[in-house]
Amino acid sequence: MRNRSRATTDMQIFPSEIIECILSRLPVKSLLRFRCVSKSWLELISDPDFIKTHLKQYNLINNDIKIMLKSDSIIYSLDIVDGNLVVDPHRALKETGEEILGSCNGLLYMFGFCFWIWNPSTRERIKVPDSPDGPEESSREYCSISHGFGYDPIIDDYKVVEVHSYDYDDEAALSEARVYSFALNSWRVITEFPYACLDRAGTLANGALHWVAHRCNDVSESHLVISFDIRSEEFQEVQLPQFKDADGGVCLGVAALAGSPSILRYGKSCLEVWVMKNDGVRETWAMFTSIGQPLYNPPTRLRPLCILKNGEILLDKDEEGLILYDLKDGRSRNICIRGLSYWDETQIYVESIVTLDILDFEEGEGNKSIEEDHVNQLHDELLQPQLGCTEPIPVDGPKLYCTMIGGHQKRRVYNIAMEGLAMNGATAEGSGSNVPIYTEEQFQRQVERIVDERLSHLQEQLRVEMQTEMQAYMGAIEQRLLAHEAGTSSARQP
Amino acid sequence: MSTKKITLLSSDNELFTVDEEAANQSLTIKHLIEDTEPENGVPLPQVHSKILAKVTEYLIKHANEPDNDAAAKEELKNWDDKFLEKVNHETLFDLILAANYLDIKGLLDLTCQTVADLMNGMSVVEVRKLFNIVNDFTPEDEAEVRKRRKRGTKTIGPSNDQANQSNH
Repeated sequence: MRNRSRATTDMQIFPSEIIECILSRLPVKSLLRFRCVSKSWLELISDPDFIKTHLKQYNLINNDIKIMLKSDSIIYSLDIVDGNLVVDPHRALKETGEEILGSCNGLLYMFGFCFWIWNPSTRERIKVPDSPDGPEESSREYCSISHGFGYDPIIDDYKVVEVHSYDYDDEAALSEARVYSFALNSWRVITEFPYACLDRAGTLANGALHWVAHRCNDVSESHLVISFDIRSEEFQEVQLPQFKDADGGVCLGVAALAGSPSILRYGKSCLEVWVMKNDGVRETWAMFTSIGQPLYNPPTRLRPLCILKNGEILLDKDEEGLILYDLKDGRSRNICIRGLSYWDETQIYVESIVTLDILDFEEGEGNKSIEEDHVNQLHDELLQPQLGCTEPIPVDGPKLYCTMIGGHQKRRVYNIAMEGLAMNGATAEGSGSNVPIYTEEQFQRQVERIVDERLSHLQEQLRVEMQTEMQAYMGAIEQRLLAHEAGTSSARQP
Repeated sequence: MSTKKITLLSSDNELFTVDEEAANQSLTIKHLIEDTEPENGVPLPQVHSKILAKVTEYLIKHANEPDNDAAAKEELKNWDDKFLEKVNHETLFDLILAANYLDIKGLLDLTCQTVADLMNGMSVVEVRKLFNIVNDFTPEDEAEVRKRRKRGTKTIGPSNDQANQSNH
């Protein structure tokens, strides 16, 4: 255990590593409450290393799975208590979103207005920067986009994946995969990607995202499963198990059961669920269960969500809701969720206090301001954080669009764009693409730079004007002087 | 299987005898035996006999942990629950310190989990009392931390009004 040098006010009973050991076993709700026990506890509970320890430790013991339901774009959180689903009255989250696209370490990847990562426990969220051509891209009309969200524990990095699959009629069209790394704060584009994904959201299991897909140039469009390794950023086809039921007209599905990738095979008469076993040397498929009639009646979709401690498997069935299926005796029961009769999305998640920051900004060169008063006044106008890219702020010349996109109060992160002025090599007009992202400090520097530029421009203008004026003035004086001299000399002459 | 006996000496000079296998669960004791081969018992000047009695009870019970026997595991779990059932807070805290000092992972996990379960239903004030912690927040700071819990600190995206509030 690590040694921490902390204030000693709460160390009268325990050294900090024991406090850490105890706190890492608390559920998120209690942990958040105990942030105000003392300053050193707040510091510990906000520590990224502690947050990681807690995520591992707490879920290791408790296996506390929660379920997110989205009903009429309102999101609800459900607890599983003794094999029953309970809607926590405090967790009818007043959060709206159009889609839940992924879940990892207590963070949800959401879409609605923009893409963002949301921690429902801490209510923190951060916007995912738009992928290179932005969400307004017109190609949306002819391409379908599949999404995914995952975590690389080795370098502690979260990644967002988009697979843009183009029009199926055009056989030659290859897909394109885009990977965003939060640690690098950049998108990587993988062109000529040979698969078209069929699932809208990838399934995260075993450090890889999985989608049902088909090869772009395959006319038969036979289904296969591809995986994307979050760490290596490599795609590959998943070797499928030897299915038992050989009837035709099948589709495939993927699920994550007990942390392992699972293949679902929707046959004519039954749903086969296969789970990947990893014996440390190679990966093998094992038939987990097969669900037949009357529970499985195609074409109604039946999707396994998770396996509960008591051995029951939780299924999401279209039009019927959530069903618990007992693997031992094959019995099933429908789950009634009071106050909720309809929902269109379900997502498994665990609670955590993980927070995401956009990191690793390059530090820019700052300039000194010229005229303090004027600068301060301009700063006051500029530094009011504008949300959601509002009206442009007049900066006496070029218009500045500023959007706060995340960060803490002390460390805000802005997206700023300028009209008619090239900045950092990126011509950004309005809130268009290629908009650089700044931390508060960098943002202030940028503002200073703009102010400086405007001021020096004004000064230059003034200088030129004054020079012209002065020249004119001097000219006038000279002429008068000449006239005067001429007058006096002529007066002297006679 | 070796049945070599190890003698442990508490801070108040009481002797406790356990099998070597049981004693080896404590990495501190294991290293002390390997390094010094003490003749008159392993001296543990930081552990009082009252606590060492509890520790040895745990060590003996956990000497042969079942690997794949579900029933035996369940039995051991029930024993663990009973083991700490009637222990008061002071003894529990002393057991944590002893488990930490003696480096007995299983006992440290068990005792820390017990304290965590205990804290789970507690208020902030109760927790401060339990750990003898002085509140070093000013009332304003504390209110700020509490507020942050309710609203969250990240401030972007669709719910603009929320973001606006926490900016000021």
